[in-house]
Amino acid sequence: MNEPRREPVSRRQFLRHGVRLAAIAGVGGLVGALAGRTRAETTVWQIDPAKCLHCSNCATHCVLEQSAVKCVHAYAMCGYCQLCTGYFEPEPNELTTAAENQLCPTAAIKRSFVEDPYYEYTIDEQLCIGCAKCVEGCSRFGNGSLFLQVRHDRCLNCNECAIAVVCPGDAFRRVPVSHPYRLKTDH
Amino acid sequence: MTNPFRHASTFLLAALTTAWIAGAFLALVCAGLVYQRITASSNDPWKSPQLLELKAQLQDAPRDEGIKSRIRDLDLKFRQRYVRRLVMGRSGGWLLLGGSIVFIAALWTVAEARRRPPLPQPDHDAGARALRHAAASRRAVGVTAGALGIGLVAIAFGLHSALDDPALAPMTAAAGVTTAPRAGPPLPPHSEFLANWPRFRGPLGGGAASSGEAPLKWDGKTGTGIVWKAPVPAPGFNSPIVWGERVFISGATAEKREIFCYDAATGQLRWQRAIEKVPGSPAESPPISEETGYAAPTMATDGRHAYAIFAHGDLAAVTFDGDVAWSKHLGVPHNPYGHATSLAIWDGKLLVQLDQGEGRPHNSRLIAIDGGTGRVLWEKPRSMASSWATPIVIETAGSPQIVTLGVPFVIGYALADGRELWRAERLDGEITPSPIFAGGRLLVIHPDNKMMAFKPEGTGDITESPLDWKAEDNIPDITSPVSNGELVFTVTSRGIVTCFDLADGKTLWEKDLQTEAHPSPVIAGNRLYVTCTNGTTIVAAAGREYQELARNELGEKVFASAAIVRGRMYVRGLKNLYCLGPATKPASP
Repeated sequence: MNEPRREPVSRRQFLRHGVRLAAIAGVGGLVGALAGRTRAETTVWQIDPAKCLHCSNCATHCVLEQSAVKCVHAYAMCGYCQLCTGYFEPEPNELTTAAENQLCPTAAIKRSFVEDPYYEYTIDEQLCIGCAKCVEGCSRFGNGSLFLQVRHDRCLNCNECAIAVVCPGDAFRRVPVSHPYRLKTDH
Repeated sequence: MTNPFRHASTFLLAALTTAWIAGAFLALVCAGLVYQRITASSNDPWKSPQLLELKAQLQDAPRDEGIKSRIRDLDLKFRQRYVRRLVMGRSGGWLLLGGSIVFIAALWTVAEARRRPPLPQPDHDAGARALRHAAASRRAVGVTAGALGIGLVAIAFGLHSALDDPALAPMTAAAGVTTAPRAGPPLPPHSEFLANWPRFRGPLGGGAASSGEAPLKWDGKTGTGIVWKAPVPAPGFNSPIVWGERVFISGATAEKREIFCYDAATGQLRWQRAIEKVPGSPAESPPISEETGYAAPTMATDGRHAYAIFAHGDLAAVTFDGDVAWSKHLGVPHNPYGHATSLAIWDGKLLVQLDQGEGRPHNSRLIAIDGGTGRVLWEKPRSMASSWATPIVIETAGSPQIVTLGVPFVIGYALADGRELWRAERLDGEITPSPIFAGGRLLVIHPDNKMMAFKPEGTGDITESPLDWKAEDNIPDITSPVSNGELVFTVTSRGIVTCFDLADGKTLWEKDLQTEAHPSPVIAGNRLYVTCTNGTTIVAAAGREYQELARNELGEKVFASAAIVRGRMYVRGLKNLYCLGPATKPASP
């Protein structure tokens, strides 16, 4: 038994099918794009540096043993001071890296010489516990370049953030995951 | 030929031994982690009193190499211990994981080795049972799908995201709400609010009593004219507030914050309530100047709850029976002398002006809170540093607005939503005298400099709008003015009383009392009451010429302003609370 012969596709039919297919694909893509845009964006917790009161609750109230809140440094704002009030105790004994002079309880701030009389300060996040002692010192007497941020490589993004519940400055906010940090850019 | 059962027995024994060892290992690691967790807080290097003590010693002996060496050794020890704890915590997790895998594998092996395969038995009912199970499964799937559908419909139409609701956003963001918002008790009528003394300087904040009656003479030594006198158990410079048969004051030290309620008729202490365990409240009290103290702000009430704020930043509402309705911590105010701005209240909305910062603003804001529930209704940031004046609420064109002072602006906010209506750049210095509203004019004081009168009209920046008048003689630095609608009276802290004409600001008379006066003056009817810090109160005619009607000695220092309700005057001394007026009962304890 012979198979029925399939009718050849004319050029006009081919073009018609092609245009129809392109139109369906375009409408589908548009619907998909619109659906994607209308979906609520995921949010994460973050600290508003303008509201932070440097109260040390971040170090003690996070559900993680070592808090997900860390000190970060806005180098553009830093004065690179020799007598850094975020690094040294008030009225330091000497301007050296000895333990009795350092404000940070875990020595998480590294001090390196740039040129006389400038020094660069970097944060070792492995050691930082988010106690905000340096932030208080830098904000009270310095340029305010040290501030606290929730680090999202550590944060569990709890529904109810244990630090936000007790934050006296109301500094914790839900922010879009596409802009997860609130960085300081000026004083 | 080898015995296969012998090999099986040896294998089972090895698996069992492995399971026991793995179990013991897991228990050991768990115990280590628990111990480490329990001791974690006491091992925090930044909480070591020993290290802090050594650093303090080094301040006194900066050249002592021995102390330096001990600090370094101790610091090294603490940090080694801290890092060791972190490493142990991380390693412990991996050890637990590894141990658990071995333990489970060994147990599974033991279970497999002991398992005996079941022998098949004839089951005559299997077919019918399978049919019953299939029918039950279909019903279960149907019911579950139905319930799921109903649940999804309920969620879709019944719930709203708190993140998207601007009205709820401040509530979720507010720090330390201890109780979930719920309907509060009903608000008493406004006439009752006006008939009492529910906030600093009376219902309108102007220092004028609603009833014209007030005592004329009393004497602290003989007890004449004193209805009762009751000891105040805790220090505080706040003034008494009165609602019905209750008089409220607050008191605080660095360790404790309390609210006291007295019986207005007898002076008996009805109850006292400690405000404690407020979430977020600091464990240690901030340093506060002794001249301000921890309880300088006067309380407020709306007839449902009594509200108090303390220098620590704790705000609390207590019921009239002394139970805490809600409390929250607003952050420790950064104030060079200590927070002293009193609470304001209007139509059940509690208003907290939290200006703070030394030299430059630091998170200053005006907050409106629903008194019944503690829910934050709105919150507005303020670009001003610390101030100590108390806001007032005025009714203009039928809509209430809040008037606040702070360097350098006088600002009017809409009570309903906190919208800024107008602002005028007219202030400087340390703003302590509160504004008053009299004869359609706002009277505000630039301390030690001038008093200005203007109408709260216009929108936006009204700095350039002309003043009705300004006066520059004997301007107070601490106390607030008082007016009877025709005249304005002021008292400087050095004791100079001055009378101005409210219409044009001209000075009509002045009287030097030659003693300090920190309480603000009050007016009842046609009498002006000026209380001095030494406890002397001068009663003068509130007229265009100075006429002293009486001079009364309380015999105790007074820093708080008096409250006058239903013909009685309530005065808080340093040690006692007094009720002055016609004697109806002997003075209580």
